[in-house]
Amino acid sequence: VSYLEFSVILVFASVLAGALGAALGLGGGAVIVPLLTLGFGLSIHQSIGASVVAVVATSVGAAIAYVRDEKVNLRLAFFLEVATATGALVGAVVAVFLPERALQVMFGALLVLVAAQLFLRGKGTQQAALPSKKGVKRLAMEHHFTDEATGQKVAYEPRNRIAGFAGMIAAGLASALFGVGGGTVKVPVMDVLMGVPVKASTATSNFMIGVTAAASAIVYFQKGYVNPYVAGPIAVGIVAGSVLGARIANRASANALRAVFAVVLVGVGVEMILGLH
Amino acid sequence: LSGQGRTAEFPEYRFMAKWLPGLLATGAGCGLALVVAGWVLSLLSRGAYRLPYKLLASRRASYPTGFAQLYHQLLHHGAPAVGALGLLVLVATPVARVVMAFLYYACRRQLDFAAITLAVLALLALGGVVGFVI
Repeated sequence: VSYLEFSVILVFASVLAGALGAALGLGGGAVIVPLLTLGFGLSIHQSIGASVVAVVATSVGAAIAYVRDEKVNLRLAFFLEVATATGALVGAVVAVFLPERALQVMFGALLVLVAAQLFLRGKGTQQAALPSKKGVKRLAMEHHFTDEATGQKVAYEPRNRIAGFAGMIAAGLASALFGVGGGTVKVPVMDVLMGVPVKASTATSNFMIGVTAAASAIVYFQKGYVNPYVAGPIAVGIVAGSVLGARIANRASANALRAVFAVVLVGVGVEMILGLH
Repeated sequence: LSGQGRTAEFPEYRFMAKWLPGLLATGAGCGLALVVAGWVLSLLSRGAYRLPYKLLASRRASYPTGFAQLYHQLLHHGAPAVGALGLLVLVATPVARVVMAFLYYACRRQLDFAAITLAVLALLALGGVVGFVI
């Protein structure tokens, strides 16, 4: 396969990954890393390096819309970014030293977990918002936004900040180890542990992904795992795909898409764990 | 109240809603333009489009690995370096919004959030150092 053919395939695959990611609320890493490792035989370190840059690109695009919507809890995001950046830094260093095969097995396991989460998300849990507490305190992070679906104002104040902070270190670690956005960890941590309504936690998670992924991308770049010949076509394709995906998401049946994608993820995850390629 | 009728509790929310989208769009636009330019130049230079992809995708291929090499390659033979610069601009875009937030909080003497955003910036800078050292 020539480089021209390779880069054209990468652009189209990344458009698909970006569209699926936007439609299902995932980053493109779950598609990009298996494609590069299983499909093209690239090293998993290089695949993760390319994926993490693509994750930054999609997060920047998503953040623009979410900030305009005012659903992002900015103060909470800045606070938790200390944790995600710490986790990402540690994760990138660990990933650099981890053997290729170990990282591949761990990535396969992650795909199976993401698939399970996609099935569960289809059941549609909705976190009730907490009332905002009165009074001035250190690091005030209360927030409220208007839910377009109901037309009602949703007010809340994040609780369990220490536990949430610890959870975000894990999210950063996962993001850097696997070249994913880490939204699959961030959203449940904010939603379940911290009592942040799911729409605000999704928006805040997307906003934070850019900084989380940037922390590890810098390490991967310095180590030579961000190859512009690979990461360039992917970044272009994934941004185009995420714009497309946001439009498709409103038309396609999210549940059907989720079920199909979950089955594919389980298959690819098992293949990576067993090393069948 | 913001222009869209939604409420935001803290003054920086309105500031960020006004300036952040422009900053992020500019960073993403510049980064992607450089990535596309680097990609096209890479395809055209020295008949790279005909080469087996594994040759270019391997670590031994001539693309910059680190800031010093990036600077050197930008000055001498540019194609992959232009693409790498574009990728770095993309990566730097969310970092720029942390800088913006830090400056906002520091100018208004909100020391708690100024310290938080500064800690994030310190961690990102540490990433550059750690990647160089290990």
